Amino acid sequence: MQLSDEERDELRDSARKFLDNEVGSQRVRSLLDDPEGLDRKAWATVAGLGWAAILIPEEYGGMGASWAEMSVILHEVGRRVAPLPLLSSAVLGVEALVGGSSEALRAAWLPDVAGGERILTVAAMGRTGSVVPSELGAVLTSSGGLRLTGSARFVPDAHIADGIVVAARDASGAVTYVLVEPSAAGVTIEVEATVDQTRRLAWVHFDDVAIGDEALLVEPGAGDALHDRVTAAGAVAVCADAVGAAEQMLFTSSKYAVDRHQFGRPIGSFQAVKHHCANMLIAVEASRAAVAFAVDGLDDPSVSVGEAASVAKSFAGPACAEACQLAVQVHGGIGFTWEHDAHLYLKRTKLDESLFGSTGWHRRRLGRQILVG
Amino acid sequence: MIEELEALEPFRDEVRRWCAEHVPPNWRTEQAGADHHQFAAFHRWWGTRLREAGYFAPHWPAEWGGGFSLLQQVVLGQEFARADAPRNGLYQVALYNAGPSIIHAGTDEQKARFLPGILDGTVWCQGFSEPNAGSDLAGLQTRAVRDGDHYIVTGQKVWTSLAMEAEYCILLVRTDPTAPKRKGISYLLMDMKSPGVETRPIRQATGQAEFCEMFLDEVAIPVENRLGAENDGWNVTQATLSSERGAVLVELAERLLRNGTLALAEATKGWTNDEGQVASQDPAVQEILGARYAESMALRQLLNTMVTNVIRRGGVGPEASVVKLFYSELLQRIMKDAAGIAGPSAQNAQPALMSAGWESGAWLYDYINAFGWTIGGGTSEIMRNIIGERVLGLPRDPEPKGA
Ligand SMILES: Cc1cc2nc3c(=O)[nH]c(=O)nc-3n(C[C@H](O)[C@H](O)[C@H](O)COP(=O)(O)OP(=O)(O)OC[C@H]3O[C@@H](n4cnc5c(N)ncnc54)[C@H](O)[C@@H]3O)c2cc1C
Repeated sequence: MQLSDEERDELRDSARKFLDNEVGSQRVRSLLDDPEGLDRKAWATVAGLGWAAILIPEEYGGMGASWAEMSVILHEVGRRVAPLPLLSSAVLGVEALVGGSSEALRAAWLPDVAGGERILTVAAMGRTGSVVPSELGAVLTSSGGLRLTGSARFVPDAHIADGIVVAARDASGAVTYVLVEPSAAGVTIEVEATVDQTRRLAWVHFDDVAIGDEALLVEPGAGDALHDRVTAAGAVAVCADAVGAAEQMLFTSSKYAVDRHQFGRPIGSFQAVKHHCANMLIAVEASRAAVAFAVDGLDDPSVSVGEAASVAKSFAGPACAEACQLAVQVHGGIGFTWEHDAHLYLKRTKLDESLFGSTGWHRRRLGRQILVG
Repeated sequence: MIEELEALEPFRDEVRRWCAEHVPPNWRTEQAGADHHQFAAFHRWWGTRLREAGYFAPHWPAEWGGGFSLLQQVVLGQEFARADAPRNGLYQVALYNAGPSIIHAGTDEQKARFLPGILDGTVWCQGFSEPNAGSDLAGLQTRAVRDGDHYIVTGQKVWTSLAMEAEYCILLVRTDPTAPKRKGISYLLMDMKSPGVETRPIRQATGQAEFCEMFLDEVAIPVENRLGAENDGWNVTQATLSSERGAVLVELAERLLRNGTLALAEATKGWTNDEGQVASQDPAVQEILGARYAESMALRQLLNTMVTNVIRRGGVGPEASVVKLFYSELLQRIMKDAAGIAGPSAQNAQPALMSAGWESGAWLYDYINAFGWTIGGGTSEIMRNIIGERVLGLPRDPEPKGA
């Protein structure tokens, strides 16, 4: 089901209204030091609204909608730096199951994931946030049945997940996607304290975890294409989040530039400040466009998902973080306080910028692609 | 390097030996996570060590416990940076603002009253900025009304670094509300224990509470604590602000080179890039390191030029306005690049290290902390205005109507 433009606008408006009212700055702040770091109340509501179900096909109780809709929600969630498990469950987890070849796992998980009753996540990044298969920290061996060893880092929401899909590499370097339950013998989860406190990332360690055939999302070693897809989705998702965050900071900063007076004038009348705001707008609008390009790519099976992701990451990742840096600068001393929201946005966009492959790697990949064709 | 420095090799050896003996080797690990009280206690301890060696106020005149030549100060800064000595952070305002202002504008009686205390480790803070007077400092509104031999002061200050630890405050107040704004300001030395002074720590973006709001409610400050003439405080301030941006930067630039650029280069040897290559061997990383190294060396050379100009010509050139801006933005760039190369690992929240200033080794934290430089002490935008107007002689911004 593809929404019409009007329906999509309605989705945006209702999401915005809900988040503004229910997941405002105070609410976000009250959860910064919370060990779980998840707004359970808001999650129940938005799951009821179908946010977790957007990319899930209708046959599994989902909306069967497209990335165009998903990105609207991710953008709004970024605007409020909201602590909701959308990246982990609604994007990564769903993409992995939908893109995988296990009908049984889809049937077993997706209906609950659609309703938000169960949360999924995917361990898809290597030590440095890399998405290159050889860098994956989880290793699949097949001596006497499949076994999982090693550690995955930067796994979003692993501490609250009911299922963790693990991108594991085998001896030949090929990728397999397997689903483990956090309670399985040999799985330990360790939340990592991060500078961005609006989200939780975890180490997941695997100590010789037995993997049954029913846990395979793909045939062993046949997960490379799925890995490309899932990590591209993650990359586009964090960029959509960053655009939302940067847009909010643009709004806050240009308002402040009008309200704040120094030297008997609004600071926005000083060209230095005016240009900072203009540069933020350019960053936001161009980033929005880069993400829109990437979103189209994810919805169009004929396009390389890698290119889509790399366009978003190469441009929107750093540009949105830069816009948030300018936001702090435009606010002067106030912008440097904990009490002001600017730091929450800066930290969030810095994290967005760093996940699912570095900016440099995405740029080099694009460069190689246009050279080689 | 400046030739005259060669003659200072024996002095350098002496300082180097002293550092080898006195810099606590594990201070970074021990100070990680310290709050501002622990930070202050550690810095008081370190200040005592510096005083014992005679290195506490090297830039002050000899009669006030200093008397080190500018080049000796350069050597000291270089050696402290080289030894990764803790910064002398707690005493910045006392040593670089309050002290020099008192030496410059104080009466003999004021010098005798306040300078020995500073040399003994009195902590001072700087109560200049107000909620409505940041970049437009001269627009400050804290009122001081003369009542016999006291000023009665009421108003609010903000962003006052370490006010909660300070025993004294250099305070700017408005004594003539009818005069043009720069001509109605007086400069007072306020005892922080005076009744009516209340400080409230403000938490910063890094999570630390290093600065405060300061509420002044009919605080009585003796007239004899006024520095300079009544309503002439702005001129006293200008002397303070220029010393704020002077010699300290030599040491900071040296620290930035070592604990910023070179420490980052070292760190990349332990990191890998997206393809698993050791980051230090990645040409893209090398290019970034090279760029920041070149800038770090240029900054160092700018400061050499500044020092040379002071020694040879008795004054500074345009480089003096450039250094603060260049330093601030280079600091921000280095830390941003470091966080970029480290990837999401830079998000790992480590206990903050206040004592290190801006090179704690937690790159993302240091990046955020760098706003202290691009905003504090005159924002980068204001610094550019100053360069445009005072160095290049470009026309000034139009005055607002009715100013
Ligand atoms: C870490 C830190 C420590 C500090 N410590 C102290 C301290 O100990 N004591 C003290 O007195 N103060 C201190 N300050 C305050 C500091 O000096 C002020 O924050 C600074 O002068 C800026 O003022 P503001 O915060 O009011 O910002 P504003 O002046 O409101 O500036 C907001 C924005 O407008 C821009 N702007 C304003 N005017 C112009 C113009 N004419 N042209 C172009 N752009 C303009 C600024 O550059 C900035 O981007 C500290 C600040 C920080 C961040």
